[in-house]
Amino acid sequence: MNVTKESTTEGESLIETTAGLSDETKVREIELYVTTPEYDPIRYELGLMVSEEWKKLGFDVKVTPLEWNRLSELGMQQKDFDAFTLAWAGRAERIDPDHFVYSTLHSSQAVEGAYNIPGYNNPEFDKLAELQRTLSDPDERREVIHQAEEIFLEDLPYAPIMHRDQVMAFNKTNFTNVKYMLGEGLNSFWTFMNLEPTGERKEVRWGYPSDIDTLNPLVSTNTHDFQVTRLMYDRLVRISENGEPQNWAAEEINDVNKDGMTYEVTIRQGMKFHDGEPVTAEDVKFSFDFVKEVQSPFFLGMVKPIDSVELVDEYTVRFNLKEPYAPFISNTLAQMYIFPEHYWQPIFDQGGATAVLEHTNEDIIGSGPFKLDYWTRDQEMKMTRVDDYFSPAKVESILSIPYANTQSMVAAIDKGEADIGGWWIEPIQIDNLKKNENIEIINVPDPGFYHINYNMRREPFDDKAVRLAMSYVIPKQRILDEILEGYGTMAHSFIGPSNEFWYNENVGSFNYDAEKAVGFLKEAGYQWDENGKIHSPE
Amino acid sequence: MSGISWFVGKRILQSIVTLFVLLTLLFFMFRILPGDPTTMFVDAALPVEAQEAVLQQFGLDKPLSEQYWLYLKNFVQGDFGISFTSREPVVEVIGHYILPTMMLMGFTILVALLIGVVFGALAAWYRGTKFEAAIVSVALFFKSAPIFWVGMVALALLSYTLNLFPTGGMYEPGKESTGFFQTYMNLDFLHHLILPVIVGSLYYIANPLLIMRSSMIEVMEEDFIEMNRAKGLKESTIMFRHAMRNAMLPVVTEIALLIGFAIGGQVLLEVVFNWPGIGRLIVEAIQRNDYPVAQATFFLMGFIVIVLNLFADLLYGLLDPRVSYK
Repeated sequence: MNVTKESTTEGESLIETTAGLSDETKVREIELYVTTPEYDPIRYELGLMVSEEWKKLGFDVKVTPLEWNRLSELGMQQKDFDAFTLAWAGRAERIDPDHFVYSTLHSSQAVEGAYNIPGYNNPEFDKLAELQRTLSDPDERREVIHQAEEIFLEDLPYAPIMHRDQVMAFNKTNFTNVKYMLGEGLNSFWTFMNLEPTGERKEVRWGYPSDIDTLNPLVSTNTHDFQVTRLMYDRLVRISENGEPQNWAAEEINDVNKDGMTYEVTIRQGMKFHDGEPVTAEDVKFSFDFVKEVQSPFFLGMVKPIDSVELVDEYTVRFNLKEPYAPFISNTLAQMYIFPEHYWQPIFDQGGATAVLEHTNEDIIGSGPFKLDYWTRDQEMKMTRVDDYFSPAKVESILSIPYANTQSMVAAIDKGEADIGGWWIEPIQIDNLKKNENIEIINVPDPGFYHINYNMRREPFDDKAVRLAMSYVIPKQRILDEILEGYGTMAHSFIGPSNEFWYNENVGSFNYDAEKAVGFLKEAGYQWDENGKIHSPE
Repeated sequence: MSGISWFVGKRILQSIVTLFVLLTLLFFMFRILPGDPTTMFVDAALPVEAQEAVLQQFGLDKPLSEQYWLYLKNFVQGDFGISFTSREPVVEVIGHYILPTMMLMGFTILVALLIGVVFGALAAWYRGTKFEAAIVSVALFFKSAPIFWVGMVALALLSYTLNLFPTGGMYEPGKESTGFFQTYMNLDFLHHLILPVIVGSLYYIANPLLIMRSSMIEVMEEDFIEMNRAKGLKESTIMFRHAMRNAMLPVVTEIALLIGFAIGGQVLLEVVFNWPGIGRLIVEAIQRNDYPVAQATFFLMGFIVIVLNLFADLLYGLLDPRVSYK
């Protein structure tokens, strides 16, 4: 790839200026919001590089770094912005494309607090986004998603730029068989299920640059909380290492009438909670009803498609949905925890929802492969293997160590104090760690992506020509090389090549092409004055 | 009414008014900052219903005046509310962090005070010599150098290269330190404490040192020092017994201030040495709009400064008979 191609001033030379354009038609100054360099240097640098290219098209661009709180208030909640850089993190549950195709692009999600940030409203796209939710046949559904991607690429409400690789470090002195996973890296559930001790120490030490907020998943909203509690609570379905939903506590899942409206789930027999009580279908039904009853923030959205849950027998429950919801297995069943009814009901009976939500859950009782030994906030947490679990882990215990920041975490891995680093490491730290022969650096492509949102509610972004032109001058290759130092891949759509099942090999692409960019603008009637500034069509 | 009780009463009343103003400022300060607790839900992409549910659970859907009234009412009853992130009572959250901070900052301030006072006195005693210049320059160097930088250099040198000290934390991982004695009453803890205390006290030495120095210089010009010399007392006796004792007074006020700030922890020190202290809690509470924790920790800091200042004022009269109350 010829890198210099993206840094020319071709754009400028392609512009033909016209004399005597009125000041009134001049396109107003646009403001690009980025994060502060301290919060995320990548989004900051990226914004500066992109703005330089936009200026070459004749736009007046101001780059404004904002604190994350302010940025998310303006951009996410109030939708009061021109353009801003954002990164959707990859997650196991985001391998299913519903979040991207529906939550970030369906017109119903363009309201305050929801995630259609650009305000994209294309009825044709909406139809496909709705249709894919109703198709329980994955191949059919994939076909529809691919059609939606085509429309997306014609409109570009936001411009995907790149997938940043999850680069994480692992000290292999004491453990082997490390399994990492798309969207999760080393924090994956499978890491802890598969790791095998090779030496004396059977306790794996898991470093992370912060601690969890709470052991009560009913109030957790933080990703790391769930990375920890999902080791202690069980799920009916877990997303496998290759990204597909796999029955876990569920033995069988039947789409009873083959219409995606009714699912019957039979759970594995003989499962036990950590206090010895058996796991029954009643606990499953209870869990789904309970999160709705107490308005648990994280689980609330997941149970929304469910109309009712019925007990069929001791080991079987039936879910009646309000309407067909294709991500039901991969998003709802694969994220919901099985809560013990005998533990939570008395708390609810005594103090209602408030008592449940303010319960610290420090004696956390789940039915997962690990149980809590102790937790000292911001110091350490120990989880011990459940030996009679149906698929026991190979490590005896997990010691989770919260560090104050990524640097101390990386230093601990380097020194061998921690075995697994649960956070991205920076290119500069990678080179340092590579000197240590006990360190293995893993490099997992991420389905999440960096992108720039255009606010389609205002000019000039309401004009497709402007969005396309701006997107076609994003120097993606240069950003990859210079900012990510090669640890990433280009993004063109909301589904990346790492997401093998859902990826469309023939998806269109948009790469740096200043000529094409100017072409879009000319065709739409934009003109440039003697100073090279762009003017709207009359 | 005698002068002293009038003065004490007035000072206590002043302190109460200051505390009320502080409470009010804290309430509005954090709410004026951009965002609300739901800002942080973007990460998990929580739906609108969830955001609304949470705002309601926190009482943030109520009008501001009602929130403020509730806040004052609960405060009077000693209730600081529930943390928005952990949903634990704020008092308990602070409880997790206060002890590590008190340990770290207590020793840090103590060492800084001892060294500061002694070397401040020596600097004044040897005024105009190279010795004085050296002491003052070194103290000022560590005061101006960023504490995280000094910390990182110390770590790189003493921990990574020479392997003398651990790289951070309060104890070796996996020790199951759940009780007070297990955590603090052992050599492992001491070993982890030394480096951050050295780095922290280097930073704090300058304040007591410079105050002691100037106060000592003043005292040394007083007649009674000449008098003592005339009596033929040893120089060291004059310095330690007579001059230093009298020069200590202004340092008392400084101690009050230092302790107040110490309760807030030293964020950078805690971050560099991975110390699970209250400074880190405060920063996180602000970043994540955890109003109740932010309010309570700031209030605690303010409360201690105000109360200790009150004590320092009152103590002045006891320490220095020349101070009279009107």
